[in-house]
Amino acid sequence: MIYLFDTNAVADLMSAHPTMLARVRKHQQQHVLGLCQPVDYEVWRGLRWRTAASQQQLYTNRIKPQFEWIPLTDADWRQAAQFWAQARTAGKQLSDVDLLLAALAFRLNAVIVTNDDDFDALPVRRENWRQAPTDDDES
Amino acid sequence: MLNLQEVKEAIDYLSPEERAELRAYLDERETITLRAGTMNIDALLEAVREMHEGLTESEWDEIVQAMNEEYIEPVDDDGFPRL
Repeated sequence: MIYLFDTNAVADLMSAHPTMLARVRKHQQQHVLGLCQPVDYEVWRGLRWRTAASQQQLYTNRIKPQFEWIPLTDADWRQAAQFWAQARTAGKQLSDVDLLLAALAFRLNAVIVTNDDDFDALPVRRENWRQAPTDDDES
Repeated sequence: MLNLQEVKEAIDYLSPEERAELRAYLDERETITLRAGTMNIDALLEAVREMHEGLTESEWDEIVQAMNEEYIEPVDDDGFPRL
């Protein structure tokens, strides 16, 4: 299974949230734990806001490489645009970062790790690793 | 068998359509080779501990808030962005 981390999940991990840590520990050997450019952008944005260069290097050199890097393709951008149009037609608005992450998850048949229920408006699966596993979770 | 330099030079002779096809091919190959087991949570936690050194709890909260800010253009009833 491929799990794609949303920004709030990476933030939870970097805040040492206990349930998040336990679930990552459970999945780390058997599954792909992925990171993509839009999420990396948001994490980097927060670090640039307040931290020193040494802390930014820690993220770049020792935290980010723990994930499998999964870049977006041109087709993902097109899919994100399609999702935007679908959501807008249904009266919902999502951020571009969420739409891009959803498009990548859609292509890979991946599960998005997030506590953001905005994704429920799209045809993608999500799990909230801040909470204990539910019967609906993949593993 | 071509070496990497020869492949790079050959790309210069491709049409825009062929380059797009090559890009799609490479994207597909990347997807096929995704790896499990990259994460070592203990190593990550050690880096996280070092990252938090010198930061107060409220400073970290500000950082997380900046990470999680979402930008969505407000839309008026006519369906167009509010200016």
